[in-house]
Amino acid sequence: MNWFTFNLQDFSVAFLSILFEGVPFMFIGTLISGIVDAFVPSETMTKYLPRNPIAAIALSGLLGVCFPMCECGVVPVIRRMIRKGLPVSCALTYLLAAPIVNPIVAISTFAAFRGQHPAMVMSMRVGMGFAVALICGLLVHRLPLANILNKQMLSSPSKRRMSLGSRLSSSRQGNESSLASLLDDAPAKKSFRQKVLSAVRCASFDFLDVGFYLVIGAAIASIFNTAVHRDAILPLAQNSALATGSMMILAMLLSLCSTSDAFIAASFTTFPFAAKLAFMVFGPMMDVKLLFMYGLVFRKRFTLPFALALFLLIGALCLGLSCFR
Amino acid sequence: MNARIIDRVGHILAPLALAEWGAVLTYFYCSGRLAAYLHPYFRPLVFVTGILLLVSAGCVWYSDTPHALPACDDTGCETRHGKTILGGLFPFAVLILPIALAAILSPDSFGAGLVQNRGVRQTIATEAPIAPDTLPVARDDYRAVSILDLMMAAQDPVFQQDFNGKRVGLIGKFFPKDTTHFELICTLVTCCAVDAQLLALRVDASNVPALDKMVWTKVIGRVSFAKIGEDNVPIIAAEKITAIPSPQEQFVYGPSRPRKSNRPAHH
Repeated sequence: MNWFTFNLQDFSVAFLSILFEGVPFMFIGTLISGIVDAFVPSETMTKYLPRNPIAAIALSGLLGVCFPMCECGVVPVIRRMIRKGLPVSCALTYLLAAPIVNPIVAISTFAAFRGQHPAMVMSMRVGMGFAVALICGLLVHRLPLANILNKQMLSSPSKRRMSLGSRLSSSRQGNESSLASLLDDAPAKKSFRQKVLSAVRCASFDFLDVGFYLVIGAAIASIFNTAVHRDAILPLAQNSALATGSMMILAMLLSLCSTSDAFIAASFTTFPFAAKLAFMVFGPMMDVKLLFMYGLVFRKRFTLPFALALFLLIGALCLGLSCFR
Repeated sequence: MNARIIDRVGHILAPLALAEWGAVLTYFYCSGRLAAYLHPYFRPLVFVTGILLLVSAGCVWYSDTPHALPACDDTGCETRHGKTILGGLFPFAVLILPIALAAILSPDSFGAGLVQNRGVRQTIATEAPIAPDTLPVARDDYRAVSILDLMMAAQDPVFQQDFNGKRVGLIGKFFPKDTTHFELICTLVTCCAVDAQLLALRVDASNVPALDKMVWTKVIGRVSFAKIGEDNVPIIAAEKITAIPSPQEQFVYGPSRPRKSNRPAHH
């Protein structure tokens, strides 16, 4: 069996499919980003968050229920929100949770696993997605921003990127007014028309920024999606740990949308449940195109170890869960 | 190149890239080519995004004119000066060339290589298939059904009875196996062609025609079901096999496809 056979025509079909599926959602994300930039004052981002950091991070993990976003759309949104003062830990939690902890993905997972305990699979996927996002948010909360954000994010005024901890400590000291003044952008006065123009402009440049990484990620994902022989991974299904690891790597390489990946996971009938769950939790959080898109927000030195940590965490949780079952 | 030229070119690149993406999306929707890539639910989104990208290109172009926006403030500074990813020609090339080349090169359909690499499925989870007796009888005395319907029917004895022995007509892509049988392949899509699952229906024929691999083919024949290994699979005994042009809709869709049966699924 030849495990790799590249065909340019199949590649181009897969490549265009990923773009056509992802671009509208990415555009919606960048539009939200533009509107947030032009119309939402910085303090609004933080005003409604609970003061307790754990509660704030947990709430961010559940925001996808009200504001469902796919993984392509969420990147430009959190990029802008961080610039607008949303604590990085909360932004990261929303980034990881929103593509899984949302009603559309829950319904599609239920539909995909009909006849295979759909309610249990759906709740385990959503529950684990939330748990992993929460754990990551709490861990990141303790890290210095310079270790997380890339140079471009750090070079925008540092006053907007206060960590949740420093924001809360300022608040606790009764320093609300000075905090508000710190977070205020003090933008030049603009008419409504100019604000709209500014929002469109901001959204357009965000779209091009993210689009650049989407193109690279989609190209790599398309190669693996069409050129690699799927049977090459079938022998791995015999061992739980190998199956789980290989399904996570497959999820990363295929870069499927979180609304459709459950149907692919369900089709791997020879693989154990832990491996399918790992595929459905890891894929929406870290895939090839996201690895590039995360570069717009995070440092490479953060993204790569973070991807590895996610891999190990989700793998361990899924294997642990399968032992428990 | 001096700084002024770089600055001026930088201002042209962004609207150009936006316009190209907008044009490609709008063209694929308007030409109908999009049907070969996406579930129908997502197609209007592509069209709207294409139009909005064209409008955005115009807005970005206009906003570069003097007095369109006030002097730089904190928030829009990086975009005001074009200090984004479009700071150089390489990112511009990445943004415009691959999508243009793919749009030109793509045959709007997967080839035989994908069948080899991705493998095919001969069974699918049970859902109520269309009841064949509710379908109109065609001129050649057969009922047009889909491969998906037969595969779903195979999973339930009651549904099998509905189809067993019936004369049906179906279309799919021809994939030869040996001198006595071939497979008729259809592509089941949930969101887009990337998540496509290839479904293969066994067709027995006394004389398998010498057609090219993955050519669209229409088969008229009688349905039966057999247990192969652990799986119940449908089999068609072919009576008439003809190559046909590519249909407008090349995929079958699940699981949100409308349920046409008046019976519930049996588990």
